[in-house]
Amino acid sequence: MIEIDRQLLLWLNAVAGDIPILDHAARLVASDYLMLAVLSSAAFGLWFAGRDALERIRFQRATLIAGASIGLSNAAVWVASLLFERMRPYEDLDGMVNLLFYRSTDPSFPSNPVAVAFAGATAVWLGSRRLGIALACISVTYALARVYVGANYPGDVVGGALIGCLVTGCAYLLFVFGRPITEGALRLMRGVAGA
Amino acid sequence: MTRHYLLLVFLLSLGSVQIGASVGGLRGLWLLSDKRWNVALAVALGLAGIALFTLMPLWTDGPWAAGSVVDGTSESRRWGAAAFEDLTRSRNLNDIHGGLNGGDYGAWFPLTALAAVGFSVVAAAVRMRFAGRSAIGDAPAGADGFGALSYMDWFAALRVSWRKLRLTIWRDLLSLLRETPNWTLPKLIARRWLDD
Repeated sequence: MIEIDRQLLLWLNAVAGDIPILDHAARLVASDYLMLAVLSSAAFGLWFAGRDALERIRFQRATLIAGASIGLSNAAVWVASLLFERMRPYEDLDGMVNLLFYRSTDPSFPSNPVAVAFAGATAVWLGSRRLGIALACISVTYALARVYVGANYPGDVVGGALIGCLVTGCAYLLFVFGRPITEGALRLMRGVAGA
Repeated sequence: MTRHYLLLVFLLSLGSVQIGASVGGLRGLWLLSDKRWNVALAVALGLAGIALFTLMPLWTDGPWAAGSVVDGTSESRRWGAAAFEDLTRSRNLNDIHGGLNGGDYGAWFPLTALAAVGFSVVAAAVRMRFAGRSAIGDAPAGADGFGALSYMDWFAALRVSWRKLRLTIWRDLLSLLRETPNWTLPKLIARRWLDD
């Protein structure tokens, strides 16, 4: 399995450094800042986008779940990285990877930013299918870019994506289990014209 | 780096709040009175945030000085403005060499996004007062929260919503608790009290 992961990385990373425009695009997309800020602000904007009372409550629940799942996914990634300490591709396969990114000091598995991206996209999908699918497409592009620039193995980003989705499921169950608290918070927010 | 990230998040959040408010018909938050122009402004704000964040290293000093940005390392970087050919890699920095760490993201994003909402609230109220009105038409009876914000600015909606909250909060919370399935946490805690 690990060998397949390595071969897949070397195949995806093989052209890195050969096509300047693709390299520039991948560096921008794989950045720790841009994609995550775009995804998070889209999830935040959903709070305001409901056209009637029912849709508004559904969207606002999704935004609350997105916030919780992004926080929980960081914790889950931290626990998983303690259990499976995996070296980065550029350390593991020194000289074979065309690295277009900085040398991170964190463990490679699972990919933290990809987990956060998928947690946000899945939570948004619970409220709005169309926006959720758009954010999932951005998250997949982000995950591919992280592999292309040599920052992660494919298995790291798949692991991060699974953790992001699973954690969002847990956040949803927590939300349902504590329903009067969360719905009560929404009622209070409506009282200050914030929901 | 933190200030640049704050600017990016502020403009992106302002854009997404405006798009959300336009789709949701929350006219009390719109920066412009026309919906289509407001959406166009929102898209422009988001794109401006991304463009500024990407291009700023060209004229701002940081750990991306021309000639020092090399793929795969952060150690060799010097302080200064970036070269054009290094633009896409200038922001890719380890947090121990000038990048932002996870704690900074977690703390700054929600605060900056809330600042964008605050800006929308104030700017929309100023726009509406300058136009000589704090309300657009008559809100339906009983409308509060965002339901009221569709018809008036936030300050006017706050008065309506707060009054309704004070009158109905306990009734609403109790009925919410009664309608909730027995297996939910607050219901498990409150069941004995409700039975009494």
